[in-house]
Amino acid sequence: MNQGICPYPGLRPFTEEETIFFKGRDADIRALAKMLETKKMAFVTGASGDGKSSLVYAGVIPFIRAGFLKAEFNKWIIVDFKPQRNPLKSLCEALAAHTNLDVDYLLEELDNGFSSIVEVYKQNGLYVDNDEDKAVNKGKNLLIIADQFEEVFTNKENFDDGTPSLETYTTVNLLLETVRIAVAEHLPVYVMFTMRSDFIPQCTVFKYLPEFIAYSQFFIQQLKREEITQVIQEPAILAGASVSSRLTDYLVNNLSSGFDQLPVIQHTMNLLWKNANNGEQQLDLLHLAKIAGISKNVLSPKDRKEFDEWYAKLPNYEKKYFAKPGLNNVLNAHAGILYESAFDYYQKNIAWTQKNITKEDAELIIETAFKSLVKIDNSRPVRNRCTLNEITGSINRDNITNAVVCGCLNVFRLPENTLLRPFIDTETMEEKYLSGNAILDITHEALIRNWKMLAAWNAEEDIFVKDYYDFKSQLNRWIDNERKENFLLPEGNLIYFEKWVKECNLTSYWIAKYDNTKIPQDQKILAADIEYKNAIEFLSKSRDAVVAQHERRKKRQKIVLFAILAVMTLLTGFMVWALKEKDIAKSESARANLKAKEVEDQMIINEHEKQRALAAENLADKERQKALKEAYNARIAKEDAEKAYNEANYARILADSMKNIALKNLQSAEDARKETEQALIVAENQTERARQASDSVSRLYNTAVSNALAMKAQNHYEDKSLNLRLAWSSWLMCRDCGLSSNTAELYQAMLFAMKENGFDNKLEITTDKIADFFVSANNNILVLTEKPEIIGYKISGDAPQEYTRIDCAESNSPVEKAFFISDDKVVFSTKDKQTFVSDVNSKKTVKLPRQGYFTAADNGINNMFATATANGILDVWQNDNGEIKIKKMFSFDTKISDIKISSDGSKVFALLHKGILMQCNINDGSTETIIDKHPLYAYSMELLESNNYIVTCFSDGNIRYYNTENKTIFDFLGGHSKPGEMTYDPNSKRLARSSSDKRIMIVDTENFMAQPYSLEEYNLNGGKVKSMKFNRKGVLYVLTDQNELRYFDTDIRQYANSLSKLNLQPLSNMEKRMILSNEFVGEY
Amino acid sequence: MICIVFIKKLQLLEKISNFAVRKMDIITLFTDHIRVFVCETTPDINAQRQKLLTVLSRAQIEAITAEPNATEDTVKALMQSCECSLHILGKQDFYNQDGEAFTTDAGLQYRAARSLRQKDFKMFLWNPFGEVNFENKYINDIRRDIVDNTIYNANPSPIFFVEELRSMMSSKSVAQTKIEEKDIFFIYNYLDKETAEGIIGMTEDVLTLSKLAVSMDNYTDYTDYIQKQLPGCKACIIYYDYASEWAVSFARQIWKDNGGKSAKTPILLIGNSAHATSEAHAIFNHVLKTAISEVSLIPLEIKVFYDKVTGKE
Repeated sequence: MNQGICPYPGLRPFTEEETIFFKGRDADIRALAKMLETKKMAFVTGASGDGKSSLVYAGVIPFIRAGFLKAEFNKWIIVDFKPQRNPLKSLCEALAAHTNLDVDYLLEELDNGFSSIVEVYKQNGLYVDNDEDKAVNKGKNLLIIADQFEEVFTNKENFDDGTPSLETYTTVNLLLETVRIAVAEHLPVYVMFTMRSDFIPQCTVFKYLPEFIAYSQFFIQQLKREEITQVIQEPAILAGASVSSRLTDYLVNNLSSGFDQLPVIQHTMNLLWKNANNGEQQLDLLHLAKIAGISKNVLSPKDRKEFDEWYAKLPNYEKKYFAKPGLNNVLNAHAGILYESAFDYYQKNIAWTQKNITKEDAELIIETAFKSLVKIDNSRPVRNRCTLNEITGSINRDNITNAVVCGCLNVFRLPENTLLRPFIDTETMEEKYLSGNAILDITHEALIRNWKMLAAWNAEEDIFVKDYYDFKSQLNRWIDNERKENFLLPEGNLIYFEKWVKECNLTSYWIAKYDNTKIPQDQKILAADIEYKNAIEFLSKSRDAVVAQHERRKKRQKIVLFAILAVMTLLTGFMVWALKEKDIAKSESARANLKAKEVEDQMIINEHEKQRALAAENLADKERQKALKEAYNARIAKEDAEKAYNEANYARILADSMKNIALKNLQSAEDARKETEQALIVAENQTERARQASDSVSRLYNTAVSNALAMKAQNHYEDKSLNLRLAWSSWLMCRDCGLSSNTAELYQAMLFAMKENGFDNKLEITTDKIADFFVSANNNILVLTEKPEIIGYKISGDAPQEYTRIDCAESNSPVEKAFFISDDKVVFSTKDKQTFVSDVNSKKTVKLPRQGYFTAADNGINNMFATATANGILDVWQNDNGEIKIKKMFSFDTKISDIKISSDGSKVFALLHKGILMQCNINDGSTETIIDKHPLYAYSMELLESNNYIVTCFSDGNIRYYNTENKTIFDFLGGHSKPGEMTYDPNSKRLARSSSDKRIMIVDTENFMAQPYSLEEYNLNGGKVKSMKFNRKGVLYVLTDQNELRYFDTDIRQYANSLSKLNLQPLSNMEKRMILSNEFVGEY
Repeated sequence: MICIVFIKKLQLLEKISNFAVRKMDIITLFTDHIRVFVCETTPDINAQRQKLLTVLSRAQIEAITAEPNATEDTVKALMQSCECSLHILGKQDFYNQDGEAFTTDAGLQYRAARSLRQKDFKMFLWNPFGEVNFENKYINDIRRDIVDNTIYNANPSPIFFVEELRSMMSSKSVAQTKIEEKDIFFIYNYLDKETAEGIIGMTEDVLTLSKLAVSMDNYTDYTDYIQKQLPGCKACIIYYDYASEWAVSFARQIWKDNGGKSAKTPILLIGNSAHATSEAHAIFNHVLKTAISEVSLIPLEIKVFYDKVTGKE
């Protein structure tokens, strides 16, 4: 069906063949055609990338060729040109191509300006004004399109320093005059311009151009929601395919406004088309997830499964692009994957060169190529067309030739990718293998803004460019100063720029890219070559100067060292001589000393004689002195004795006072001892409390770790046995640390772990559709099928054994609703509104006199049971020897949601849909309102007679407990989903409640503060609860709308028993630490 | 002569006035009266509902609401008097994908609106909490349920939401009213009328035809006329003799404007072999059926094509 072209071109503009798929601008196309028709001119303006050229070439031109612009003739000549570097020449070349006129002739004619175009049109057989020629279709309408008119201002050849060139001025004059004459003479000649709106102010340099713009400007508006929807959906419809509304809704809501709105959406739709088997499948969210445009969590369970299977087969290098899916990630992922796979493509598909490059070489080639194709202009990256030669020259490696570069880049040029021009549209060698002069270009600037890797390269390039200008100023300074050494680079700058040259991979091609002069490209490369050589020479000379400087420094150091050595040598020689002199002087000195000593000895003897005489004299003096001294000492001793006496007295007084102080201190010490004893007691108490606190902390810590393990056990791991080990380790921790193991997290962890490892809690029973079931006192299961048929099963181990089968069909209509009211009776109604009671023991089915649609039933006692219908009738039935009669009837004006008979058989409670709870007395038929109106709708009810509660469930999911004894009410917040079924186990005192979000909550009615157990959607295999019952051992049986009967034990020890039989290895402390840390990899 | 000049002047005035009217469109675009049904919400977003009602009144859009606990029939009757319904999605759910009874007013009215979704009745879903990326399960379910005529908006501003609503309700699709039901819609260029009339004469012996001669002098809006007439016919023939350049572009445009491959009325482009060449048809590839034949055999080609598309062959 869709063997033809893809209706979404991707980043490239529409080809003529694809104009049939150009949608979203229908109103603009008509408005532009009307403008041309009435005014002969249209000046189309808008922001960059908003589709001006596409609107004209894919929208307006086919429209007017189809005859929807009412012109004089049937046929059209459409002359379109871009100003480029010489607008007049470009116009003449375009005119020549469509009219078979000579370019030189046209240049000569049009150089006169004003009416020249009109004259050429009239005089060369294009315009006819006689009816005969018109009738045979000879005349042709003329449309001139000046596309990308802003090139008039952006190319320096056309516009320099605020002044347009002569050719530019002539071209503008020609076009405006053509419009004026066409309007005046009603000629079928039309002129259209396309230009970026940010260049409008510069149009004032051309006389009358602003006035003409005001006369016929068409500003392209941002696409509105319905137009974006057309862009998305209608091309697919035209091609015979379809796009789902929810995918359209997602794309419309996530499309950002701004430059890249249209190219991003076209590119995304292009990839979606291919992912949807070229439109054979409906384009939907699953395909968007496969191109990393949306998270898989959004998908339905079926689609998610398909996605997971597909994702598992992806190579690792592709998977990383799915980490942050989003609409803006699609182009990034596409380009990134091509980058990673380009080397493989090269190895497999390129046959024209040797395969002597590595993957790193291929990545370098792609990086250099894209860097060459982007230029930084005022810190903003813009497209830069360049040749294959320039790219190869920039890489500058011997083994990387043009052929190799072309081979590596070809993957980006393929028809399914088209990120680089020229595209490969056919399998011919001419298209695949590019010559050195072939010009390459990025298809759209959206790629520059959205491919993160390219953005990173551009950021790096921006820094390189800034460094380049810095370097260039220093280079120029050196050249301007006759290359003097003083202007070379100092060491610090030199190291920086040498590193920059290496990182930037500076080549003459790179320099030429940033040459903004108006010389031809080949001259720019020559100039760049010279600059490159100058740069290398500059660096080399700077390096030499730095090296020379180092050399000189070293030389100076050597000289200094030599000088020091010389001085040292001199000093050493001098010292040796000085030591010798010293020895001589020493010996002379020794002789002199001997002589002196002899003289001395003689003097000494004389002195001795003298001394003896003196000594005798001294002795006499001493004796006299001694006597005086004795007298003095005696006086001193007397004084001392007196003093000592005074001191002793004083010391005695002091000792007395010290004694008093000591007594006081003793008392204080006694008090302090007592205080210390008390402090000791306090300290002991604190120590005890600290110990208890430590125990609590330890308990808390263990509780936290146990809970964390339980939560981790609920994640998905590649090794599923890890789930079991985590749950088992959490259980062991609770047990060993004396913690409560009855926690909701641990319960859910165990259930999840067992499910992950294939434990199936589904009972294998009949495949017939089950209406209701019952669990008897001896743990047998009774089911009623829709046939109807009652089938009984004994549960031994996990495998049910059928033991009875009773056919209850009394009419041909299947069962609609059923209630087992005991283990031997079931009440059911069929689709033809008949009602029956079947007895398992007697195998009889009796038709009830009351008809209608049952909403509830309840077991009674003494052969009594009750039923309620949707129209508010409550019947209490009595079974008299097999004949069932109505014992009492109650009527209400609203639907009855649920009923329960009290255990003494005296009353039946009715829960009305509006939230009213009624007590109906069976004996006297009276009724009493227990709970008045409630703002929400009530669904189900349970009697907890042992603790005097009636429990009701409301539409907001909350549970209300009504105490019949003290008539108080309290609410338990159950959740925000509509409730479903409810059932109560009087043995374990647990209440189970299902809700519309496919969950079951199990509440411990004796401890409301405890977190309830929760059974999630996956526990029920995605099914919705139809009916629930507890058995006597606290096992909950659940029947889902998928006809599955599953069982869940509410005693967590049973699951622990099951796990213990698996001989699981508990986690070591190191394993626990690793798993609970953020660096654990293994879950997904 | 004077009459011809007068008529041409009138036609010129018509052209200018059409253009003038179109220029005024942005001013007069939103003057059509719009009547919307504003549904009940869950209690958590009453404030947003009140704000929306105020904004609607400022935008001069008539807002209709139902009494609390109104029955579904009452709600449907009110909705049918409006052009669309507005639903605000809060944090509490009211929608069950299994189709069970909705027990709140919000849910009941949502269900009522769903049953009315058709060509001219739209449902607008507004999420004032800005959830664009399927974060809430029940909103997830609602968004997976989105089909044609259901518009989801997650912009937090009620003004933005009302602007979009007004824009979408003002650009209603043109009713595809058929003009006349015929077997064949035969289109040709007036320059080829000689041979075309001969073919028409032969074909009319066996099939009923609606004819259109495209002329540069005629100021009829062909696109509008063709969009109305094409669905009324079982097949469309575009014939050319000399005017091949026109025919190819014209056929392409008609194919695009009328549903492409999904259009109910298939198109055959057929040229006189005396002047037509197959190169001109190559542009269509397998998008459109094309043929070249002698003039005398073209009625037979038309009959064969007609029998094939109507299943009579």
